[in-house]
Amino acid sequence: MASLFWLQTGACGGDSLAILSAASPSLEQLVDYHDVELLWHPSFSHASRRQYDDLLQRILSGDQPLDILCIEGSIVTAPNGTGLNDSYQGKAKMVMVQELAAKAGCLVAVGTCAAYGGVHAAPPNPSDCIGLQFDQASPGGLFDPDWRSARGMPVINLAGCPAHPHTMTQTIAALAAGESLELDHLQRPKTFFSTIVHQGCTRNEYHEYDIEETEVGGKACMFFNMGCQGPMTAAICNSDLWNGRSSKTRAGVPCFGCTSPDFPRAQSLFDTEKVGEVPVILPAGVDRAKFMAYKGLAHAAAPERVKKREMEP
Amino acid sequence: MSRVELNIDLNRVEGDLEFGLTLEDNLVVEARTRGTLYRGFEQIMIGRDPRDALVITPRICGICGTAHLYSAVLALEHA
Repeated sequence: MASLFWLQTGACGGDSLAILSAASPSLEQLVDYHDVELLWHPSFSHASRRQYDDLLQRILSGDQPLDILCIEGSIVTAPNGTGLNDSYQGKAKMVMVQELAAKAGCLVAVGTCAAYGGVHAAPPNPSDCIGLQFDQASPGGLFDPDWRSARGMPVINLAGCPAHPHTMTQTIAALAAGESLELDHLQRPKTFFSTIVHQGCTRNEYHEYDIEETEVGGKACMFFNMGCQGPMTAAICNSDLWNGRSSKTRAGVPCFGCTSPDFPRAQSLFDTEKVGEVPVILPAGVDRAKFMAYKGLAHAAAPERVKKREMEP
Repeated sequence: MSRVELNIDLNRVEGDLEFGLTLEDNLVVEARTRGTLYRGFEQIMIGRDPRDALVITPRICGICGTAHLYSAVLALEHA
């Protein structure tokens, strides 16, 4: 049995909603088949406040073992480092996280907010929000970069806004089974963050031939003008579809890059920032000049059926 | 005269709202709500492209995010 405690800090609760749509495994299957004992979740538990306070005490005293601590939401540190802009009965949630983390086998940052600060950390970051072990892309958040949990692991970042349902349930199942996870340089499990959103996008033929939209509502590629971060964003959205059916680009909006530490980026989310004709942000490692040359050739080679947007994405 | 302070939890607003009651001789003499989470969405939106509201405002709440998105759409369409 792996015990799991889920705490919301500076959160919207979106990851909790997303985990409800997981199918493989589902949240129920985590409890029934994957040996997860859900000690507490703010939306799914029915225990009274007294029982909740009692549970917290038992975890902190060591009477109740805590294998997996899930934190959903940014770590709120304002005002003045006290964390009281996010409190429970007068106590800063930030402090509760530190106390619980000291007892936890492993610590999971559920969602981009808990991982890197997320939307609440966007300028001017009114509540001085940070992530658990990162402050956007800089290592070190509530915990130092060298902090390790009782099981010797750093914070596991399940980035996403919200995190993908299966990224969450499959990670929890793996942790409950005692498996170790290989993490990338941003401490995201490689299993779910070695694919880019661009892989599996149904507008790929439009991308290939550089047929690009300038307004919402079109069928073609959104990379060159409409801010699509798909080619730069690690996530499984276009391979393991949301609710088994959809993704941002299938729904007709660009990928906003929500698994990235700087999400939401400072520039307009529906525009591709360019210097002249050239996008500022290009896929990692690409040669700028050769990329533009290839796009020019691709556009010239485009078949009529693609130029006329006859292909349904 | 006995004075009692009560803190009551609300099982809505995802735990971010608390009630405080002051009773004197079993009569409520003061009642207050405490919003216990501040994130500052209005401040975050200032200076951004207006269409960014379509991405940012739903993050106010994971349950009713669509309501905020719908309001943002109406605001953009009427602008």
